[in-house]
Amino acid sequence: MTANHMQLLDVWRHNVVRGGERMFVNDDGKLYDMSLSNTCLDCHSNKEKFCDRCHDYASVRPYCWDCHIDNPKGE
Amino acid sequence: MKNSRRRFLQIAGVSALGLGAKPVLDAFASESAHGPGYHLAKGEDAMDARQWAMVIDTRKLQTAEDLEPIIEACNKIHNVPTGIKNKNHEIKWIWEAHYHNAFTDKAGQFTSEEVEHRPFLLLCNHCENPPCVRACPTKATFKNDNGIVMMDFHRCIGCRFCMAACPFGARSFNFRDPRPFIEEENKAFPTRMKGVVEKCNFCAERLAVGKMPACVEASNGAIAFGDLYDEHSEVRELLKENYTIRRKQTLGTEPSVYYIV
Repeated sequence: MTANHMQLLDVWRHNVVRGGERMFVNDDGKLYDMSLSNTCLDCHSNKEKFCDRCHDYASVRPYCWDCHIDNPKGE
Repeated sequence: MKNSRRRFLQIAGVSALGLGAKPVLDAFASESAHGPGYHLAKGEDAMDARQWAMVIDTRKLQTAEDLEPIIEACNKIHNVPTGIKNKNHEIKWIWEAHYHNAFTDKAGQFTSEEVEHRPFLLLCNHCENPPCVRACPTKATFKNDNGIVMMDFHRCIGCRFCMAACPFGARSFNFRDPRPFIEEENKAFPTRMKGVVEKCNFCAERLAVGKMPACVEASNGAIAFGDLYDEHSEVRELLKENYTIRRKQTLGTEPSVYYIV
């Protein structure tokens, strides 16, 4: 996931926005709603530890959070 | 002699190409047979249509106070920044306008005063033949399977060609970061960023989970929503029974928002 999450997110983004498909069924048959703020961050709720730590280390600056809300639970 | 030599070279060339292409084609075939391991689907409750359309019964929306909760519902759900004071930087998804501004080609010198002074709800018309989609150089604006003129904000480069192309003024440009101007943030829906165009999306995200658009829900039955090409849909029933007008119909963009006057 660490290495390939960007590919997954790209599939999600493309299919939700352009294809109108919002359900993702993984290899194990588990169902997910394809949403960055509402699905990923629902469990991995600490963006600083979950996203920024690696991104800062690797010096990549994705602009996800310019639009997507990084703290969906409002903590 | 000359001819047969040419023929030989032709056959040799084609077969060499065929031999070279075979391993490549095999590789493609094996990849597609294996598949990515996951699959994608629409939600169980997702609603589909050939062309979503809206019928606004303006007889039931007589005053600005009637429109307010409808506009507010949309703004709240979609994180539309309402706190921008500069009129030139304003962001609008659904807004109120005077008859003369809404129906520029239908404003006679002497018209029914009652209709003329009614406030009209304006929004993106989700045209069947949308000029904004043709103007967009990155396909950030596109027409989806359900006839909604959608925006992919990830692709928008902020060129504003779509704004110039749209004859209805339905598009707004984020001249500045909209986040500080959002009064009440809806955590479940993204905001936009500086430098992208935005507009009404017919609540595509709500239709995908089987909900009606926010404005329709907030309108107490004044706004109907349904498939324009389903003979028995609510909108078609209303269109059959009532005389309706559309904005700037003469331009041929085929707007999907109808007004009962």
